[in-house]
Amino acid sequence: MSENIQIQARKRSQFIEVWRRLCRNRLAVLGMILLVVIVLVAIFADVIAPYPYDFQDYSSVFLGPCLQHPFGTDNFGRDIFSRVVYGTRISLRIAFISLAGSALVGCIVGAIAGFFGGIIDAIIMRFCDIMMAIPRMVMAISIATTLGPGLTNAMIAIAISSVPNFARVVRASTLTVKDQEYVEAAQSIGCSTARIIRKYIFPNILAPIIVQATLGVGTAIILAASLSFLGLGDPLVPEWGAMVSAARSYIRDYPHMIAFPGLAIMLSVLSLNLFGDGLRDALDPKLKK
Amino acid sequence: MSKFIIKRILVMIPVLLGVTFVIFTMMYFTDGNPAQLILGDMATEEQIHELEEEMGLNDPFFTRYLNYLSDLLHGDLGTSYVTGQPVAKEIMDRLPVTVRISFCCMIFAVAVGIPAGILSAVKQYSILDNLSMVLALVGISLPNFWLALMLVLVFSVGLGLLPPSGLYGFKYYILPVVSISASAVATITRMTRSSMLEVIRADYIRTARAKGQSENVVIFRHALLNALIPIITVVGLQFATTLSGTVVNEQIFAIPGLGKLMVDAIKARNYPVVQGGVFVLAFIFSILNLVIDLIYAFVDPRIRSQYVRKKNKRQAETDNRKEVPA
Repeated sequence: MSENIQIQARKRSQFIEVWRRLCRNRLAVLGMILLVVIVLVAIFADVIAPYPYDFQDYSSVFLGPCLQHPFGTDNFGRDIFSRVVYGTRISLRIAFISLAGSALVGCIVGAIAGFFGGIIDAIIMRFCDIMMAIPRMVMAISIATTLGPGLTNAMIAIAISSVPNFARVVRASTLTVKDQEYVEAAQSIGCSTARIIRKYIFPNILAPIIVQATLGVGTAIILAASLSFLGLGDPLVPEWGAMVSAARSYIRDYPHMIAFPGLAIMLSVLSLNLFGDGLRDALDPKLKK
Repeated sequence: MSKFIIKRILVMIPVLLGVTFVIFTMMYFTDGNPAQLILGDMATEEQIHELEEEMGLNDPFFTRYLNYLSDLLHGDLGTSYVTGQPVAKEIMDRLPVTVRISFCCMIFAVAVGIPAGILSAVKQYSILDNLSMVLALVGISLPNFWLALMLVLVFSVGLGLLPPSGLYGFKYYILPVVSISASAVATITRMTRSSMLEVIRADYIRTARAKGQSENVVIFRHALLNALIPIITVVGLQFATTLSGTVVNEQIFAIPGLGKLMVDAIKARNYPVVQGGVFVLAFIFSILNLVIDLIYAFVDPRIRSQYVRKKNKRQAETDNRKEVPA
């Protein structure tokens, strides 16, 4: 009983330690605040957006930024601010779901490769080499083309193309912990392999996975926007990339239609990168010089 | 050395074979019947069946894969659904432009990124360092298609300094190259800075300074050469980013390259062209990786000697891998 409490206390103290280091990093805090704001915007999109995203008002098309429409309106008289706000929801959903998928598969595959080694490792890693021989965006584009346009398919495409990155990180970290005494101890008391990976290896390699995931969400947002920009998303939904793509023909006269969705992409990716960089430094103080 | 090159090329072959398998599998599962797509909506059921039979679409998966592979070895990437021309020819017509642009991008990225990174590291925490780090962070956070449009907006529409589209001379390259390579410049700057910072604190740098070596020699000969390996790794990885970037951005600048060909093909559901383009890009990327590996051996005598000695070869390979940052 007392042991349990001690473990609890130690776990919490490590978390607090990382948290403290993170808070000392001004840029990371900035990223974190931005990220929280962006997530809140996504959650409360209905409350924040003054208009529904598909509300068309033909009496006010191509308006520049003004009081009624802070970001102006588009060619259908739709309020761009509302569309960008709803777009937050869509982009974050695509990025988080696809990332969760690829993290799950990547962790399992990478841990298996790292833990078992030998022929299984060789097969899995050669397969990763093959996947990585195709540039990631090109990979995502070709998978999305195969599956056909649509947000779900874009999500699957992004998820698949991100798996090898995760698998590599997880494999490398697994290799560093699998020969530790506690793994050996677990083996000696007869834990199943699945249990060892889940309970002993995974918690100890969590740090690099979290960092990879944070930075990966940013990449996923950019990938999703690029796929939509190329017309592989859903044109009916206010996705940021699709909005930029639709506004391209009006670049000469109504640049605000392009500027604001792009700024939204940039800010969300920037916040994730700031936060991810800070997290990496906080989780591994040796790296920070 | 030649032995190493040959070995490295032999390693490339199974990877490329795997790439063909992945691409073929994707093509196999693509929705839409190719025979239907070629003949159009007006075709009768029999015509479609006939063409399916003729194209071997009813054969089993592996028969079709082997056929595809043997076609590929003969330089046949299939026939474009839209123009009816061989895909290989269409791609080869467009490829030089894309290669030229990617090449310019990488030169630009290295020429800006490495000096900026060195400067940031040498003058750590100065205004210059902070500025370039902020710019680099913004650079990796920008979607390059949006940056391209913003550059067009400012420099073509607004100031009228640079042409917004086409490719007829030096001026036409500036906007595409800057917009495509922005994230590569940013990544290389960040990597150069952190790698230099790691090296600059080493004892041999202090020794070099102590013996009265001039600062330039210390930075460029003693520090940079030792910091170069991770930088080269990142430069190699950035080739992927620039190749992908050209695919997206050629569309914006109306550059008649491979990327525009592929994007147009996506819109027209002209799958053989898309898959052919993917294969060619993967092929180029693999060759570039090979070149990067050769540069490693060229730059780092430790790696070179390990490759020469046969029994240490495996070790060197794993060491190399470890140095690739996640």
